[in-house]
Order: sequence, then structure tokens, then C-alpha cells
Amino acid sequence: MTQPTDHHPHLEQDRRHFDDAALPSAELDALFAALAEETVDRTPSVLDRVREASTPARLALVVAMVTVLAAVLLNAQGLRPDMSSELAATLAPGFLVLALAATGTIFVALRGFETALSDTTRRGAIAAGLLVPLLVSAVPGWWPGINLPPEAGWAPAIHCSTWGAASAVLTMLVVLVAQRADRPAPWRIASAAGVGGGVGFIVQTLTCPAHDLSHMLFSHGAMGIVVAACALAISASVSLVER
Amino acid sequence: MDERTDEQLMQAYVLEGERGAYEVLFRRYAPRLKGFFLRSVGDESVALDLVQKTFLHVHRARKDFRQGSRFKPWLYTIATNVKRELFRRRRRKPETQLDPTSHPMPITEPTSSTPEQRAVQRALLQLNDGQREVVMLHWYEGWSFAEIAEMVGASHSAVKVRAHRAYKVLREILEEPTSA
Repeated sequence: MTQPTDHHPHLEQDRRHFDDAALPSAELDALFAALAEETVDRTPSVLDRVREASTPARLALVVAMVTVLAAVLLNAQGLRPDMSSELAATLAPGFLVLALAATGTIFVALRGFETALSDTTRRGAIAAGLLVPLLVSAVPGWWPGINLPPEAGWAPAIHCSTWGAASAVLTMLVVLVAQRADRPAPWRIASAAGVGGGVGFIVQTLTCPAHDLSHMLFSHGAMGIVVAACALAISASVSLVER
Repeated sequence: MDERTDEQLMQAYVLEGERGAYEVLFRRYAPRLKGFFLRSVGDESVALDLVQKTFLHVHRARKDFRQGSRFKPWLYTIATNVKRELFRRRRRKPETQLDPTSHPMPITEPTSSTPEQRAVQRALLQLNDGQREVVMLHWYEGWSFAEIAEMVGASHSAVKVRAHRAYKVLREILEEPTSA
């Protein structure tokens, strides 16, 4: 391919100028000393050990921790009263879709700076994390259960939203702790919140028998989006305060 | 002077935890990376911060370095992402001096720059982020399009198209009589 500026004198001069960017030996020594304090000369903390683990190891760790977290949340609320082996088999395909989406999103969110992630991959991870719980919750007939009686009022919505949000926040924190940047980028925050939303959906659908579309959409399926919006707002506020 | 290749040094660093290997890699690449960052940020202290940050991520990600792969493209992938991260943060901070078209590249120029270099800086500001990134890696760092595609997470053809358009824009601007 032709390079129209191959021999443009200005560009040639500019390239040579920066090629000569000097770094005196004393400055190099000081730079490395400061770097070594943060890396090779430092006794690694637990967080350092997690960050410095390989990506497959971090993925396995996060999946294990999220599984334990989901089990604790399930135990705290108790399984829904109509749970049976038939119901579990009916719910399983939906949960499988959610689990695959969440695992894929975690994998992308945990990739470090050494990976060149395209915008498409990043957007895909965010979409899988945030939208899959919402989309599956809207599929009629996929989630057998009962219609909420009118006299139940807002209580079921508040209950499921609270637990769903708690699941999403805790899961998001687990994912963010295992990624390597000191300050996670917004796309990683959104992805991690999306994973949290998926976990929250599974936990709430295993503990709450209500299957009204509005309840499924807002109290089970949308918590990832709500938590992502709050987390991104907090992150932006912190950036503004630090100015 | 350590005669080992980058990959041998990485192996010693990752598998045997050899501090000296990490130091040799740092000394080998820090000056070059400083130039890489300085071109984009125009501020020496920021460029040096980015060099350190790049090697911090080399340390954190060392266990993901695959045996048999090349160190230098891996390092530049990290450097490119570190630079993107800085620009992303600067976009969110309105006090940072950015050009009127919201390019992530600061207007600040090295104090020692000549009129010709300032013309190049201004011309580079006319490119979009993706085009500028490709020019930086191709023209200034000498990477092939295939290598750049791996570093920036784009297809080979997309990188070639970006480069072609970028070089066309640069030529048009630099050939204007008032460009210097």
C-alpha cells in the first residue's frame, strides 16, 4: 500500500526528534527504583496475588466466589415454596443461558491491559451482562410460577429488588476486585454490574415464585442495569471530586 | 550488558522470579516508550508516569505472557492500552487542555518543538483517535499493519484503511503552504 507521507520532510524530522527522546541513566535508575517498590520489591498482598494470577486462574476464582455468594444468598432467602425437580428442569435452560452470558462477560471484564480488546468485544460483554437477564425475563412461559395477588402491593417488588440489587452489587465487587487496573474503566464497571444482574436474576427466580411480566422484568431482570447506572454515577462523581 | 533476548528475560522473570531480568527489560524499553508516550501527551513527566504504569501492568500480567510469543508487541499492546486509559480519563475531566474538536490528544507540545514539528502536531490532531493511533504505531514505531491489528484489536484491513486515510489527511494538511 502506498504511504503518501513516506518522504514528507516534516514527518521525517518529527520522527527523528522523538526517537532521540533521552532518558539519562540517573533518571532511569530512579524510575526503576520507584517501579520496583510497587512491583518486584514489594511483598504481595492478597489483592496483589489475585491481580497477578493468570487470567484463567482469576476467571476460575471469580466463578467459584460468585457461586459461593449465590449459594449464601439463596440460603438466606430460602428456595421458593413451589420448587420441585420438574420446575428445576424447566428453569435450567434459562439459567444456563444466563450462566454462559455471565461467564463470557467475566472473562472479557478480567482481561488485562495486555489484551487488545476491540470495541465490539467490549460492547458485546456489556450487552451480554446487562441485557441477557432483561431479555430472558421477558420470554413468556419460560419462567413458571404464580401471579402476584393485587393485595400483595409493592412488598414483593421491594423484596426482590433489594435482594437482587444486593446480589448484583456483591457480585460486581467480586469481579472488580479480580481485575488488574487500579481504577476500573466504565466498561468494566458496566460489565461487572451486568454479571451481578445475571446472578441476582438466578437467585431471585430460585427464591421468588412470582412470574408476572412486570415483576420479572423490573425486580428480577433489571437490577444489573440499575446497579450499573449507580456505580457509573459514583465513579464519575469520584472523578469529578478528584479534579 | 545482558545478551539475552526479551523472551528469555521474560521467561527468567516469570518462571524464576528473576528481578534483574525485569530490570533489564525496563532499561531496554523505557527510553523508547518514553518517546512513544511523549509524542502523544507532550509532557515529559506524564510520559514517564505512563512508562512506569506500562511496566506495572507488565508485572501484573506476567503470568499471561505465553511462551513462544514475542515480548515487544505484547509490551506495546499494554502501552497502547495505558495511553487509551489516560485519554479516556482526560475526556472525563474538562479542565484538561484538549483541542476544540474533543480529540483526546492534548495540544501541549514539547517546548523544544520546531515550527515543522508543530505543524505535524496540528496535522495529527486532525485525525480521529483510531487513525492517530495507527500512525503513531506505524510511522513512528515502525510496526507492520498486521502487528498493529493485533495490538489495537482491529482487523488487518481496518488498520490499513485507517492508515491510508490518515496518511492522505496528513499529506493534504502538511502540503498546505501555511502548514509550517
